[in-house]
Amino acid sequence: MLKNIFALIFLYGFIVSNCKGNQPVLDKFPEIGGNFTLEDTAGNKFSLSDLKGKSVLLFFGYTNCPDACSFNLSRLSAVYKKLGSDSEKVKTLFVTVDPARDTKEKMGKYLSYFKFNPIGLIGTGKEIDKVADLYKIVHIKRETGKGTDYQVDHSTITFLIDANGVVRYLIKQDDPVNQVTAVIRNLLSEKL
Amino acid sequence: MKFGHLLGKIFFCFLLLETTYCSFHSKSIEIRDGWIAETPEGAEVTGAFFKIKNYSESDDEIVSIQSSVSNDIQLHEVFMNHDVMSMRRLPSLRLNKGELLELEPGKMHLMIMGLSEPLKSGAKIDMTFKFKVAKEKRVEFVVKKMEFQ
Repeated sequence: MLKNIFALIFLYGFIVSNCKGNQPVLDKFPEIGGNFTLEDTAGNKFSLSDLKGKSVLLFFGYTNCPDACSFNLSRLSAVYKKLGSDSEKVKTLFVTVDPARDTKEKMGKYLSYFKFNPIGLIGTGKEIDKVADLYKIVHIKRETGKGTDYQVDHSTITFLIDANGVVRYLIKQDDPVNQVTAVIRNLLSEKL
Repeated sequence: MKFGHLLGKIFFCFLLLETTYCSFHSKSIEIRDGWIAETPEGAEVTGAFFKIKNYSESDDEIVSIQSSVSNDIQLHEVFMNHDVMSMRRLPSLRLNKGELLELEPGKMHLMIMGLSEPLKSGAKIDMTFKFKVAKEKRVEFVVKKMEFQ
C-alpha cells in the first residue's frame, strides 16, 4: 500500500514537470523505467531491448477494463493514423496488470482488434509486479462484490520511450490526440 | 360569426393543452444518444453511454438496466486519483427533476458485463431502464467504435 502511495506521488510529480507552459517537452526520467523481459502473446520471450532503435509507447492495462484501456488504445489508433508513414517507427507495448485472467490467447484476440498491432505482454504476478515497480505503476485489485469478480485500479500513464530505452515523456489519459502525435513527432525528429 | 370565432379559440386552447400534456407525459424521462463501445474479440465487458433528462415534476432514480446481451449491467463512476483510474459501482443513479445527466467515456457509464460475443458497429441493442418513480423505458442503443479526431 505504502509502495503504491510513493509510486503515485513520484509519477505525479514528474507529470506536473512534464509540461512547460502548454507545450509538451521531452525530458529524461532516470528514476523511471529500464529493460524488462516478459512473454508475448505468441509465447516468445520479449524484452524492451528487442525494440532498440525504435520509439516505444508502453501502457499497462487489462482486457476486462471497460473504460480506460479501450479509451487509450482507441486514442492511440487515431495517433497512429495521424503519424502516417512515421507510425512504422513506433511500437506499442501493452503489459497486463491482470495476469490471472489475461491469457496469451485472450490478449492476442483483444489486441488484434487494433490495427496498429500493439504487442501484448504477460507474465506471472511477480514478474508483472517487477515491471510495474520499474515504471512506478500502481495496480490494485478491487472486488466488485459479485462472486470472485474484480476490477483492477491502475495507472493510466503511457510512457514514451526513445530508441535507447529511456523514458522521455509521460502521456496522460486526457492528453488529446494532436498533443500525443506532436510529442511523438518531436521524439522521432530528435533522432535525425 | 363571433360565436364561431370563440368556439375556434376554445378548440385551439384545448388542442394546445392536450399536446402539452401528452408531450409532457411521453417525455417524463428522456434517454437519447445512447451508444455502446464496439468490443474487440475476447473482451467480456464494455461501456455504454447516453444522455438522460428528467422532465417530470419529481426526483427519480435509475434502479436497474436490463438487456438481451447481458444479465449484468452496472452503473459505474470513474475517479482519477492523479493518474490512477478507479471505478466504483453505483447502487442507483439519482436524477433530480429537470436534471440532464451525460454519461460519457472516462466519467459515469454503464458497464455491460459478461458478454459472450463481440458487439460490432452498427448493431442495435435493446436496453430497458427501470426507475424508482417513472415507468420502465425501453431504448435502442447503437454499437459504434470509440473514435477520436
